[in-house]
Amino acid sequence: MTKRAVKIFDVIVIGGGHAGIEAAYAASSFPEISVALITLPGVPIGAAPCNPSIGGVGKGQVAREIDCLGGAMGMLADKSGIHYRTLNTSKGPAVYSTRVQIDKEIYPREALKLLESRNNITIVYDRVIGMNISDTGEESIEIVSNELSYRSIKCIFTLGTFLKGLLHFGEKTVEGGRFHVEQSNVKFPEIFNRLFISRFKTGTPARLNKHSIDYSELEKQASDGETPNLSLLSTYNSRRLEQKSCYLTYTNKKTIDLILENKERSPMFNGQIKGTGARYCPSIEDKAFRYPEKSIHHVFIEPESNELDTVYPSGISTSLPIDIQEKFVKTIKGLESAEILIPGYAVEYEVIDTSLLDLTLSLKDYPNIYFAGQINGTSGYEEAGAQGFIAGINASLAIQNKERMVLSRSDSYIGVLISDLVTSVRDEPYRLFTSRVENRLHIREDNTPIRMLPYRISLGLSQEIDEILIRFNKEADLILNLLKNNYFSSESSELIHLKHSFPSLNVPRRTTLSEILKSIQPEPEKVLCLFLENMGISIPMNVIRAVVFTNKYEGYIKKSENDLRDKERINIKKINVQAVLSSENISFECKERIKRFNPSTFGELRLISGIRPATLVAVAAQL
Amino acid sequence: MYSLNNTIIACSTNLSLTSAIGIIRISGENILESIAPFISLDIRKIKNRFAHFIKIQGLNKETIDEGILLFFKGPNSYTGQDIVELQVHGNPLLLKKIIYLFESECGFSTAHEGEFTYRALKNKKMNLTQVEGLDLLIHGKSDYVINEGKSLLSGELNQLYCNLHQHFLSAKSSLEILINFTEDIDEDYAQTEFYKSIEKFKANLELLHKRVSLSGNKILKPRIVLSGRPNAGKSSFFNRLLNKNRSIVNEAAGTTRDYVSEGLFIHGNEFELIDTAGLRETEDSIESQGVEKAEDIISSCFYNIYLVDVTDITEEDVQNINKSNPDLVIINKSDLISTDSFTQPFEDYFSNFSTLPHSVEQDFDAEDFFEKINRKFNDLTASAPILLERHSDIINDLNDKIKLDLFSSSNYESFDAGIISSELLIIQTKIESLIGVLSSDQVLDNIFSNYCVGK
Repeated sequence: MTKRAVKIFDVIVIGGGHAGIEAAYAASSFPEISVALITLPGVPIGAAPCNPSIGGVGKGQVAREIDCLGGAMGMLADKSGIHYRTLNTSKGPAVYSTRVQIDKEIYPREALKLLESRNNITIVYDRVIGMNISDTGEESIEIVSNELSYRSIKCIFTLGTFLKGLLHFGEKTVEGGRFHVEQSNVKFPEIFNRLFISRFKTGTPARLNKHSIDYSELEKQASDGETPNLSLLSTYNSRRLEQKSCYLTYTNKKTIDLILENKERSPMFNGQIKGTGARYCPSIEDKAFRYPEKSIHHVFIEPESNELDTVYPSGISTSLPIDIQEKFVKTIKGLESAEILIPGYAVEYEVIDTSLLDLTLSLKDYPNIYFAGQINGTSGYEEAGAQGFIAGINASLAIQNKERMVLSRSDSYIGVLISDLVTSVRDEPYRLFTSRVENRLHIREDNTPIRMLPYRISLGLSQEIDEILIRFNKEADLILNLLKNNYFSSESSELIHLKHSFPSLNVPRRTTLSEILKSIQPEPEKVLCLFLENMGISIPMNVIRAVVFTNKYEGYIKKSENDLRDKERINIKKINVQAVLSSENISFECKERIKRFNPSTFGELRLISGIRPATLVAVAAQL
Repeated sequence: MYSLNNTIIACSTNLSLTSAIGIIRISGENILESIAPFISLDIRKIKNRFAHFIKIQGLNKETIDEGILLFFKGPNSYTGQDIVELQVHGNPLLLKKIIYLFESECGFSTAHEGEFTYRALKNKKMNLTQVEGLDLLIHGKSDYVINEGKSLLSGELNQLYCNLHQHFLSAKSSLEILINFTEDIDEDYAQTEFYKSIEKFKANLELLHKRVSLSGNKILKPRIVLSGRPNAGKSSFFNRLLNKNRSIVNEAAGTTRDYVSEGLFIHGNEFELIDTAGLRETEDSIESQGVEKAEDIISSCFYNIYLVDVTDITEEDVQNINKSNPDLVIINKSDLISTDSFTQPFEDYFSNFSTLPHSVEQDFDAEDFFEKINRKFNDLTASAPILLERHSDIINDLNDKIKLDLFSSSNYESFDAGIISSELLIIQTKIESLIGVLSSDQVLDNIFSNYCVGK
């Protein structure tokens, strides 16, 4: 191996996807750390090979957490955003989620610009073929390509769906990481073999020619100008791109019948695909075969780029042969003469056993090696980005002998994500649902700057995001104090003033603004905004929202915390798996699952999907 | 809580009364090896689930007693551990001597109350609800309670709780679909599904809640209470009833400092008959406490009887009756005045109550009286009430939560999915404790200290 020229870095990130970008960007937060991002030649970084969007239910919260921690995703999405939307607006602020459709041509360019703006990041276009660990020297990891050798103290693998990736287009299979991009075949030392225990599958729909669609009959969803930017670092001016609309159409009986007739040509159902797909991200074949009685499914036509001819038809991901794809797409209203520019396909890829990672995403046995992103069995750009950030920041912290950064389950989606990953083995791709969060009333989008401040402060950095977070928190504290400590009655001049704008405002007794706001439905934030304006106080709307929603949920959060504490008491109890497996009162299927996941506590056992209540009762009795 | 590692021993039959046979039970590991030196039979000849005739021998091989040894190999035994059962002669002295021998020579420990059943629970031979059922089965005083015990033991009631849990899970998951997947499914469809599943859950809970009644305790410990002013004739009435149907083995019976009580059999069910004489008639400084206690007993009793002396009905009687609203008023000393010359001002008043004339001088139709009591007992049990307080409490809690927190609040109308799901999480904890998932140590401690469960 000595034949090659050697380049030395502190941290090497392999893979330029969403995990890789965040990993490199986070690691480079410390100017003294040198970072290399090694990515395939001729492939743009930060591509969006599936939905052209950042955010979504649960994912919007993650994107904002990454942003407040000093990550890249939010900024990049705002710079390339062509359609904004707040999801779940009718279901209460705890579950509001932002989603931004991005221009998938602009996003990679902005990503590259951002990384290049950091002097301590080197972007290397090379094809990694192997990795070695040597016992000598501080830079003990050797990364090998055909021509070069790279050495580093820490190495983060963010290989996405590329490791031994196999694409399925109907009967046709092609090796590849994604459409028209080669697979990765990094050779790991043999001792790493036990990492790779399963293959997952994911899929994407055909891309359609946007000029071949008849939009006249479709429901139009325009971009929502009131949805706040994803990043605190973005300004009104960052959102400078022309906004595009999404369109909604539906499958029908003809669509589903066509798919049902071609079962033997579906790699998902004829046995060709061995990898496990996610139940929550079903292909149109899944929907057809599992719910044959339901023929109407949503299809959102999402814009991909102002520079491209393609649009993304969300809801009909498929790995059927191309001729069938062409037929079934044409059965859908508005798509009668749609032209397929890129066929839909499925990809199978290697994933690692994340129970071998610790909370910084480094291998417990080889703490200098990190894994992040889809190779860890997750799905979604945001989940990948979050892992990249955690791996990157911790790699740099470790090099500097600083305290590691671990986010708590009780105050962040990222904390839930990482702890779920390292405490269990999954049998399908992991997506961060809001229901995985025990403390959903507290972990909201609006208060992300409040939740993330302590973590950011612990890094001891002083960047623009730190100033913004500190200001946000100061203002929020100020207003919360005002809410709690000032009493008003309906005769108070401030309230009489407010009544002009909100005639329904009813204050039966002298009380605090906090109580008054709790009783206002809907949009108490507008009332507080006007109240402050009347007092001559100018506070940004995002702070006001955080304060009003915190105020709204305060009592409920306290109540559920009590309940959580009780649950925690039993969840931390150790269980004896051998005793459980030998019990006569537990079904065979449950035992199989328990054997596979080998939970050590009652809490972990509860997290295993498919465990019956009767089994929980039986195990609880043994505690 | 109790340890599971030591070997425990106890007498399963009554240790305070002499009887023909006494049974000693031992549960633990390697019992046969431990007791080998003290039994006449070679332990290698002992077969699982066979009866063996043996002699029990002391340290000097002297025979202490002879009897039958039964061996149940774990885990197919009551406790899930090895069990040895010795059927010997029922002299308490003898039984104590044998137990002492095994304790001092084999290191066995005396079982705490319910410890055998505790082991059965821990070794998953029974679930929590079954343990509670067993308690009813052993201590039940009426067919109804015994039957409910059987139903708990066979898991019927637990099945209803599991069904409730199932309905809860579908409500919870439809809320999650509503939050996470409305773009895949249709918003209105998801909303309708959620409301539907909540309604189903509510309907199931409602069925259980209907079976929760305040009378649970009255059925478990049915008390018939006699009250009335001094010399109204309570004691003579008390004795007259007992002459007919005294129950000899009522544990709670006996004269206490506060009141006199005896067991009374009526139509196969056992009641506790209480004379509150001692409570109301004390003249000392703690009288007010006594009165309070009497009121307590009266208000919580199953059947409240007020006696009046027909020759001396006073304003106090009327006040007492108004206050305690008795099930039956006994018009005592009815021989002294004929019914139609009832003291005029009170005649109308008593017509509001069920009355029965009584006089020690005349025959008394006890059957008529017993029938009244029996009828009330049947009425109370007709709605198949859930007797266990732990269950009723949780079901009541759930019902309150659904009504107060989930449905009355503005959350539901303005639909705040976050708040609803947070409330659902709390509801989940309660349901899980109902089916016994969350049988935290506190719950177990509580159950084993409040009940004397099993043998």
